[in-house]
Amino acid sequence: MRRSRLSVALVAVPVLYALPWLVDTLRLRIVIEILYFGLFAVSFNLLFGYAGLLSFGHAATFGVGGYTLGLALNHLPRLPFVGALGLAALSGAAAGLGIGAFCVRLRGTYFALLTLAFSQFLFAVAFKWRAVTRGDDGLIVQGRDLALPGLGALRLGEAPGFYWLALSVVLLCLAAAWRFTRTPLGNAVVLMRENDERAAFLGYNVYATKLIVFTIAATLAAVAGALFAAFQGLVSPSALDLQTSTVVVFMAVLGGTGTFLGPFFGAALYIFFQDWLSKTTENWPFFIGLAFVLMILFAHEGLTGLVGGRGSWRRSTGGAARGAA
Amino acid sequence: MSWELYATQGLHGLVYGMLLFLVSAGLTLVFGMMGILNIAHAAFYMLGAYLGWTVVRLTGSFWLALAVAPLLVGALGVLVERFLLRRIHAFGHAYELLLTFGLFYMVSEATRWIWGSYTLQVPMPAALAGSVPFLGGQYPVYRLFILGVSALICLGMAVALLRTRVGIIIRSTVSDAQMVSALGINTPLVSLGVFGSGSALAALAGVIAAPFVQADLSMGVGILVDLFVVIVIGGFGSLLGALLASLMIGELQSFGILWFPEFAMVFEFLLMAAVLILRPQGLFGEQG
Repeated sequence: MRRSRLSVALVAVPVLYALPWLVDTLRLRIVIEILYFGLFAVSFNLLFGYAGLLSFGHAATFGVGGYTLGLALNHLPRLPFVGALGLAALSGAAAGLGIGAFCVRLRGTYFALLTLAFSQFLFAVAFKWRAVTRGDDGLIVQGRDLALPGLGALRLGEAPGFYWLALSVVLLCLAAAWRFTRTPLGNAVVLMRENDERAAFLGYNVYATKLIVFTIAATLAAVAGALFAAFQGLVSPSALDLQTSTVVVFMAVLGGTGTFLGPFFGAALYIFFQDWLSKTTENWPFFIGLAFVLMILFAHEGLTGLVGGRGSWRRSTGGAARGAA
Repeated sequence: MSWELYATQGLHGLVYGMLLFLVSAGLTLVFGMMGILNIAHAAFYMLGAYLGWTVVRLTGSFWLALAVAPLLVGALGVLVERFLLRRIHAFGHAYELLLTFGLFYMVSEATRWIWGSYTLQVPMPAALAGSVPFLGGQYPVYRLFILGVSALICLGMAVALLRTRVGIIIRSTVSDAQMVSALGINTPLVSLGVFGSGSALAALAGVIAAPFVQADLSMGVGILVDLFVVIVIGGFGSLLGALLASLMIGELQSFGILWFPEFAMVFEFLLMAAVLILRPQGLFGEQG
């Protein structure tokens, strides 16, 4: 199984990098959108599917990442693009640590409501603090090329250049997140999802472990938000509003919360579905909602659950624990 | 600022607080009983206002709307509980929460589809259109009507819950559904009834609110935020808590707009965050 996965990667990665020669610019722009929303959805699912913490305010750190990148590029002319991206990740981690410190003490509905409260608070800050964020006009993000030592510059203003950057960053983040879920600490998270009293009794520090997961998820969401802001050239308070938090929930559930990559496919599906629906009917949000409700009713493990994805988090933990949850 | 202005503003807050309580009563009972925070509840409130508009337009009678809209929405609530929520109960609370979240989104978008994106004007019944002298100024009769109706319903609910057999069963189910079920009472039926009547009550509040705030697509999200805050502050399944929290939010908004118009929204969320952090069981709740 390990070997087959490796060979899939060996074929898929070169094809992904060759994509700008295979599809037109319009489609490539959709793929870029899928990349950062996919990362966003995977980061959401580290909390929901993996740690059992349903967040209604995951857009908070997505927006923090976007604003940090925008401010860094606009105010620090000497900073290379990668540095701005790093700053965005750092600010996401800091915000995640700060918000998580309060939120991870709570469970279930109360956790969802507190994350929502924090994201609404940040929304209000972005909306009102016009001097820095330009309020609801949005902050225009100045583009910058990516200097590659010895190779010249990657032009991020053009779709292929940005695509290569986004693909590399997203693959790196996904690999890091995947690696994390395989560590002993990552396994402890699953234990806590199923029964955190027992985990505490066994000597695990439940609070610290959940806080670490929350911070990692926040960092990845911030990177996704930074890519979003750089690609759109604009970041506005809507990047951290309830609608954005809703979209990421929809994506993750559509794709399947029981597997690592399910939410990524969910993001792709959501974006294609929306693209197609919005050309067909102007009432497309209704059908998105309908698809979401049907999904929960008839296939709550999402599409990857339907297909019977290998290495499902839920399946690997066995049925007895699930009954107790 | 004169004390008359304070009094008027206080009365405004009381009116909105009571309206909020009508909506939050059903939500809080369902949350206490089934552990589900029914997000779609806010959409039921909005749906009530729009259905009210349609009934008034077709028949010209506001009083008829006051009866028809709650019946329809109550029936919708029963269907949602019986055929959607109960179906996924086994998947756990997170999925129940997600389902009601999806339903909220769906009902809101269906409302946009059916009635359009424009604000709809619901005329006040002629008998309630004027205003009465109040502390040297004028106060609209309709607001006093809202206050009267919601106080009446509140009183009726208190009597029903405290003095009748059904009320005792409902209160016991909130505190320990398993035990009540073991005593031979059909608790799923109790939940169904409470869910349906709670939805109807939300719609009733929507109809009452319609001439006052106008039927608008932002109604759902607007009240949703207030409802969350009420549920958190009031505490798990506590009706008295919901009443006090609703009045608190009503006054907070009323005076917040007066003193800090810029930050009224932030205030509410900070209050909710503070309660969640310092006293997660709510100000009046007994358990976490």
